[in-house]
Amino acid sequence: MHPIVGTWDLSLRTPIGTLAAVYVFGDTGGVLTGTAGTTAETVPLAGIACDGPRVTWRQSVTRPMRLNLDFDVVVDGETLAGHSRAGRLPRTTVTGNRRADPAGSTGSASRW
Amino acid sequence: MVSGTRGLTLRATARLDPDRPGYVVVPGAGGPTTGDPDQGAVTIPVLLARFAGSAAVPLLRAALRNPEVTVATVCGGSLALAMAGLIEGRHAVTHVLGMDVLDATGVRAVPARVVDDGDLVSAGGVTSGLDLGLHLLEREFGPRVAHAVETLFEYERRGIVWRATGRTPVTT
Repeated sequence: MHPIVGTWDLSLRTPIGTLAAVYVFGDTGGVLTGTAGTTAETVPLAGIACDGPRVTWRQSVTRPMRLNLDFDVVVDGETLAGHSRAGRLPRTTVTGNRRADPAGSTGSASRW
Repeated sequence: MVSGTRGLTLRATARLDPDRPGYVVVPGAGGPTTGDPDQGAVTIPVLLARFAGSAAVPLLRAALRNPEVTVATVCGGSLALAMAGLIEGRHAVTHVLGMDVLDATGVRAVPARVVDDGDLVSAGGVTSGLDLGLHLLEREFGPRVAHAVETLFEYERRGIVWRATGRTPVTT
């Protein structure tokens, strides 16, 4: 199972400020799946691909603004680091920490 | 409402009625172009995003759906609509500093002075609003009226109005 499988707290920068989001990655029959949730919405991740500890994906958010984002991160145990990019805008740093408890088991379900 | 630079106050005397035929013009915003929103900087993208989260959005969505309404934008106006997800996949232009953000919202950003996408006609930075006005006049009332206004205003428009028609140029 890929090391990204699990629940992560990520912060990502947008043109209008930093967003905190909860990412949930799963493995369905050897295929990585994922969602990204904020207080405003939960969106599916598209085109998830991995190369060793490196994982890339795309996501489209509508809140707080409509934005197409491309991610490229490397998982290292309980943390991940990399960058996201919105189209031609300069890429920005992404950092993430693995949650000790799966989403939902600590009352975090209210965030979804 | 308080608007513009240095707290200029504008008084709204009516509410936008998206059921009325005609034109809706969406302006942009003035403010700092640099600064960190996380540190409280109210940059132009932050201002436009505030508008994109306001009660104006359902009215503009209705206006865009109304076949008898043309929505025209100047400067950051198209970016505000784009941030609200109202013009996904449409061709549009915004102020030169906002073109990459516009592209990242899923709009097909075209670096022309005026982009005519049918019922959505957008213009770039503020002076291109004059070219937008003359283009809409010509489209609606013909070249003689547009020319008469051009003469009255002592402004001769410039730039090709971009439309997604004709041959595709070969780019290198």
